[in-house]
Amino acid sequence: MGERGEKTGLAGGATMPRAEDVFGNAPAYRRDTVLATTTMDSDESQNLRDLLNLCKQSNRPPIILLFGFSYSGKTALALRLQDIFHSRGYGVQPAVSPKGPAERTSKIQPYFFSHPRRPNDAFVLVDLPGERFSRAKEANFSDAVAKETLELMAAADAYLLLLEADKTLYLDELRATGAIGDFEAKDYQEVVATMVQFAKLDWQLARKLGRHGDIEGAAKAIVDMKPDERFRELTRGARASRKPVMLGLSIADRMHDNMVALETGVIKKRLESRGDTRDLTDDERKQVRQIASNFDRDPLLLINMRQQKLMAQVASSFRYFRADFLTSFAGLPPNYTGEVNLNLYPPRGIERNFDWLRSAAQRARGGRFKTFARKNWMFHPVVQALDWLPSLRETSLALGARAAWDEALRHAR
Amino acid sequence: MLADAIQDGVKAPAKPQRSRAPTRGMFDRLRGLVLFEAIDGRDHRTANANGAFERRSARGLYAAALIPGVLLFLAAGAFAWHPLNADPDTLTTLAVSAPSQTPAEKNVIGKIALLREGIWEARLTPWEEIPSRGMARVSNDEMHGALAELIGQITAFGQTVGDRAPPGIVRDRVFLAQIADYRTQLKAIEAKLGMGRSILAYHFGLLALWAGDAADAEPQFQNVLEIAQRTQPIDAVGRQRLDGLQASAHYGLGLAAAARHDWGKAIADFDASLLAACRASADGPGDSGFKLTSANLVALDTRAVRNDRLIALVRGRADNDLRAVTSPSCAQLMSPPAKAATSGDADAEARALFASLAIDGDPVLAANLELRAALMGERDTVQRLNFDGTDATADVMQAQSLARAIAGLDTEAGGVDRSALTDLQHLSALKTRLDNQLRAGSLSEPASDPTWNWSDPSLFGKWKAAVASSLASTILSQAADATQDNPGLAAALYNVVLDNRGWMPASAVTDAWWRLNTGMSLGFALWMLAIAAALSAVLFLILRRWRQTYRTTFESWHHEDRLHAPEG
Repeated sequence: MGERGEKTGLAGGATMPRAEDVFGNAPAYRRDTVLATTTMDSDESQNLRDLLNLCKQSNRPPIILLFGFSYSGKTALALRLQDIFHSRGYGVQPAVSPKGPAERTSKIQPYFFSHPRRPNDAFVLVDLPGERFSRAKEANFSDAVAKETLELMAAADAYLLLLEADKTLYLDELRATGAIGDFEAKDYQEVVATMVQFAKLDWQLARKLGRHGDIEGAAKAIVDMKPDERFRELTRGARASRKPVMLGLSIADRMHDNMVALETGVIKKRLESRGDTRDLTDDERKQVRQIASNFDRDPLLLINMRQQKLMAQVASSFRYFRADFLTSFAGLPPNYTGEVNLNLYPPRGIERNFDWLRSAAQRARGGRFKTFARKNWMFHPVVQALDWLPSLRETSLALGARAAWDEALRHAR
Repeated sequence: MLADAIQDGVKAPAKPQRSRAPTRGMFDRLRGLVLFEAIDGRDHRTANANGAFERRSARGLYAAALIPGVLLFLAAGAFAWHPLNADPDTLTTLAVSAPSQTPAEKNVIGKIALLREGIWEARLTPWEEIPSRGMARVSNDEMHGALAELIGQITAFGQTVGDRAPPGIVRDRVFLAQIADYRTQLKAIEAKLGMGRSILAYHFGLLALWAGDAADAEPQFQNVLEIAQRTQPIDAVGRQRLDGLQASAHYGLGLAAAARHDWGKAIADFDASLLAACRASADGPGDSGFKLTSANLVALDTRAVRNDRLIALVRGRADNDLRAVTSPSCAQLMSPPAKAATSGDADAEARALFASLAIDGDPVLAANLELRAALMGERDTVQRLNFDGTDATADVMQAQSLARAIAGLDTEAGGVDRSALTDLQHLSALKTRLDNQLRAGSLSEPASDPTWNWSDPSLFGKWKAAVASSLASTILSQAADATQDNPGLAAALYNVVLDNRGWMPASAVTDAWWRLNTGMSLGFALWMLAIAAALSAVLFLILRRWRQTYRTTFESWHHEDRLHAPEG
């Protein structure tokens, strides 16, 4: 038995795998958004109202916004987090459950995680589908639904941005080999572009929040802005937001499974361009296996190389961020909705990444004084001055230190 | 490119991309090296493949934190390194003096009341005349007569105690009953004459002072003072009388403050009293030793005020850092800026006082000065101030014999603690010896005579330690002052401290050695060390936090997780 990728039986074949084989029969993203209704059902609207009321309290638990498009594994991640925090003694309200195909709508779903004996450790995980944001953008942030999305973004203390690992890192290769169609590839490019706009808009929101103080005022100010102004680049010298951001390259196991095939294809293509039609040598196969076994060693560098625009935007919009691969459930078939064995492959990686995000959110949110000062306009200059202060935890420091010696990172930047 | 990036160690060999990169300057390379060693801390192969952070070395971190601190310390050392190479002078005299009273000695002094308290004059008399004109007049003939008779009685009564009311005195019951009687009579007169008369308030205050009741005396004298200040004089005589009133009232207030041990206020009141007295006798005989007469309503001897002021000063200096001119002249008192406290050495002022103050016919002041000179080891001064006891009281004579005993001129001083007296005698002998040594330009360790019995065996050691630290600091500061202009003298002074390393404090000896051999004080070196250490510590904390951020940013938890997953 060799690498995981060989288990699929796809790697050795002469033809490259098709998208359905590799990623399951996922519908195009746009199809979902078109089908999604613009009016909310009563259940969701009640949830949202509760959440937005909570946002206005100064002494509330941190809100972590889980942002990603369909099939990026948001619900699976929430399920895994529920499992992790259950084992730590937390209760989750409402319980996370896998969604059936009919439920795959653009529904905002908050999950309240709380510990019975440690009220200060509570947090709220909000599942914000990317389609919801796209729709708000298409509606020019004018309708009530869009305003609520903005309010939610303004109130969030941390973002967990989920991107499918394989499409994010291998989009060109997948399209070239015919694994996904042109339409789907273009769609995914738009997903990444939406992420970039999301990061830009957050910065605008933070600025408006600083000026207007209250969340509703900031959302209204964004709504009133001209569309071209809304996603403008950061002004020179402006400080990035203090919200911590986790860039999750999700469904990493699927990418790993297909990696040998993809890398073999890449090498073969390189040989073909030189007019060579031979099969891979043993050395080349070894190299491919090595690549596959170490694929997740340097996620930040990889995403920096493959999605430069996204990384540049995140780096200039946010001060604290991290990128890593996430595998909530390894080895499950795509879009599996049945019972899962939660003991399988306990993902310490997810736990550590989420703990980092949570503690960074609590730090950014600040203590009693900061929450009090945020509510009083008299203290806003103090809060702004404190926010402006640099910190030794900023990711740009780490990037700078590495770029000083690492040429790969320097060139990627 | 992706494949290259994630391969284990593949990035290390030269790539075409690398050759395309613009050449990096020396500074960038150095920065890269420092950051790689201090922040990353992994070996090159692991770091290139972004491998595990577990076996990360902290060597670079320590070096990057320590090197700037060490460099700063060395640079400061090189900058301040100026050894004193001049040949030491030969010293003919050492212009330093040992402290007159060390804390250990003060304990011994506290055992002898006469030394502790000094001899107060505290001589305040009743009015000699009841004015029939002006503001203070008593025009009612009947009352005038009654008052004159009562004041006559009070005057006669006061003479039995020499008109003296030393602060803190406790009177017997008979005495107090007599005073109560006088108060009752005065009260009866006050009821007929009405309130707010300075003559009545003054005598109430005087009686309270005689009775040892400072709390009662104070408001009465304050009342007199307010009346005197409020009143406008119509002629020169009136002016003189009001000044005389102010002088006596301030004196009374000063004595009351001294009874409360409020030395600062007491001295201020004595100064105000002297100032008023100087004004009252503008054409008087001079700065000290003149008397206010009946023309000033109250007879006040300014020698008494000056004596009491001196005692308050000495006692106040023992308690806190009271700074005042020891014996101000009328001119100093009249001109406000000169009256302001000057900071000076109490001992030096006392020595100046021995020479300047006229003590002819003033045994109390002479006795006080003798006591002080004896405590300072000034045997010659004690001898010079000696007076014969024809017109002196018993306690003044006792003070003189005590001073002579301490100075070693007499052997007997009756009525004091024998052990404390012998201790003081021994200390006085030691001080005289030390003074002679210093005048001859040499210094050696004081030795206790084996025949001496100290009341407290540790007393000699404590005294020696205090004298050593005081002498060492004076010599070191003198040497530091002389370093620029006269390096030979400075070297000689440092050598004095080094030669006495057996009994001088170790810190002073080390300091002298540092200053002589490196040209910087030990304090400077320690400060620079502290600053360099602080710099390194701050850098260390910054770099450590930076390292944590670096690890948090680049560590792949998914990779670790996958490697250690149970299913492989």
